[in-house]
Amino acid sequence: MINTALIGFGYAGKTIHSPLIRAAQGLDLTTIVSSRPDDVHADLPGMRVTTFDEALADPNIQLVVIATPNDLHAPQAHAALNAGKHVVIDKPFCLTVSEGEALVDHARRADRVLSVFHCRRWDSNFLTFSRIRDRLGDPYQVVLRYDRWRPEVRDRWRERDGPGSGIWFDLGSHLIDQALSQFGWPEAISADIAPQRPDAQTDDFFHTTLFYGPLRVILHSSMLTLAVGPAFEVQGSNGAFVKYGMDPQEDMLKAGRTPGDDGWGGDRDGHLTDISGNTESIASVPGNYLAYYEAIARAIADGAHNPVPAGDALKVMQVIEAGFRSAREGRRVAL
Amino acid sequence: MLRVLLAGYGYGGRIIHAPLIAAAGLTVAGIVSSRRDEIAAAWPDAAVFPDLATALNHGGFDLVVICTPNDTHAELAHRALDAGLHLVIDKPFAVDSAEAQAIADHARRVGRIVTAFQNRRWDGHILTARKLLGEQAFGRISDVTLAYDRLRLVNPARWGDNNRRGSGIWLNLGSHLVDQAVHLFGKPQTIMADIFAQRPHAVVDDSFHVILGYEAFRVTLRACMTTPAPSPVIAIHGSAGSFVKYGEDTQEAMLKAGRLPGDLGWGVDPVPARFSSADGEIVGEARDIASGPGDYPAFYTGMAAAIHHSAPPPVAIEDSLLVQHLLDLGFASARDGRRLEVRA
Repeated sequence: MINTALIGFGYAGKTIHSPLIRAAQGLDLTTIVSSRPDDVHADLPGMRVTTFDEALADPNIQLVVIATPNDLHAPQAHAALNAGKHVVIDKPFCLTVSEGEALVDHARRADRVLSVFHCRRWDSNFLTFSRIRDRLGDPYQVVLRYDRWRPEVRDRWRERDGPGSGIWFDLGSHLIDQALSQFGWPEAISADIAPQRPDAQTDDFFHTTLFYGPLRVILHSSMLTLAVGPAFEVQGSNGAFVKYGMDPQEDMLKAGRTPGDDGWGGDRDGHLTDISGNTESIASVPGNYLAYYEAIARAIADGAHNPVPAGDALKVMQVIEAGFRSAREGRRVAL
Repeated sequence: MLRVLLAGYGYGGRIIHAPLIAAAGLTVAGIVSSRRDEIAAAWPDAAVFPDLATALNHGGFDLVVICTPNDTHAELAHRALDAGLHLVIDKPFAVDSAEAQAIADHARRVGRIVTAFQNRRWDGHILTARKLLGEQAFGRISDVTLAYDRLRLVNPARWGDNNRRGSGIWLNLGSHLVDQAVHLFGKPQTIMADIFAQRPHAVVDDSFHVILGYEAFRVTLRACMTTPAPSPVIAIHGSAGSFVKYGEDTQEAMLKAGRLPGDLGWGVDPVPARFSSADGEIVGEARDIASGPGDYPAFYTGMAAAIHHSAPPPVAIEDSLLVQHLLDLGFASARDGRRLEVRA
């Protein structure tokens, strides 16, 4: 068993990472670093709560999972690598490409596993598309969407102005990673990233195009959409795949369900429409975030493949930066 | 009865204009075309002319409708205005702003009405959107999309297979969507355009994705000919409601099938639109609402009223000049990969 310390017990730490790590075969969550031990103990009685430095000094801890605000990711990851730990960082990787390059370099020198939690490669939408992709022919237009109805701005670091805040970092990183995983490296990006709600303090909207020859991959997110569009839409030369609804795992985790339990990750059907106009239901492959952490355990224990190498996340950072530049300068940016 | 000279009897003249002109109570008095036999069967009372000059010399017309290839619009428009006739020009009004401005100036000099045939202002979903906008049903608008998604894996003959001036989807379908945006929301502040040839054998632009920036929201105009599962033709999202409609207006399909305005069920759309409402965080129920019916004949009824009663023309020339400017800017934006300001 790989003894694991979770750094940060905010929304992501408490709701996403803690239950997944605890459920993952091969990992043992022994320590949580939080300034609010009462919160931890309310959820996990008896859990060891320490400071960050104490966790790094503990020779029994092999893996550190960083689920703190984005601006802390790089300094905490360097410290953990210096202490000889393997490291998982919640997405987004860090704040800048240069921070990311330094981390990739550091992990290579330290010969440790460095991985970024791009969990949405294990979304039901993504897994289902991967399975039926060959039936769609050449893709021409893809829309990956996070539409939500959140008219009120919430007082949390993600929605405050500051380094690493805003939706392009937060949700854009997911959609970029999905796009790069499926379609590779784009030629260019054209991005519109802006605060949309009247009292927004940071960007809460994006509409971004990634250019791939005749293919356009559009990444879209708005918090002001009542009638949400499909989460996953691919129009190809032999057919289209359209899937409404977000992957259910985050809601299941919020509801306190145990990852991997009966029915875990089960999602509504998608639809495949062929070029004759016939539409068939496509049963969704269940989402499986647990697969990420179990692959991490194998990567550390057996030297197996890192499920999301930091180099992949570095590419996401390059697209994030190029997107901000495109939006700021109002131009298409070559990648 | 206004006597109309129809210049052009291709798809637009034959399927769209002639039946709509007649349905609005105007007379199709003459047609410029080489398709003499076809016209004799369909419009036996119309005189047929080999070219516009011959028709204008013949005389006896109040109004010329130009529905010829786009790169001939300007020349024919000037001839018709020189002959003192009122003028309808099929969209796109002209090939560029310089042409459009010259036509507008000429019409003003000779005191004749010139208007662009932007029939898709009378699409059912646009009429319904206008009504909802008038009722302030959306609250504060956040995001709008207008789209033509179709499945045409082989290039269509009408505008896709040649690269003569004025071809391509941005001028031919973009002109509809830009006009709808201007009609619904007025003048945008910025434009960022992606206009490109997408299908393997396309020789002209056949896809676009264009963002019009307004002060508080964006309007995305999209067209893609490779979509087995088309997205909505219109989506308007606001703080109080979302309006989403799938499926194109039915009138063009009805005209193609030989149905006429005034027939029972004209312009009725079997696919309802959906309106979802909210009050702050509280989401109400989504309900189906009728889209339309569409009303293309209103264009020619409006043109008759403009000529007879000095009513405003069905499409203001200022709007057409703005649309043409936005079409120009779209090409420039796509070429340079830059967001451009729309002139004051």
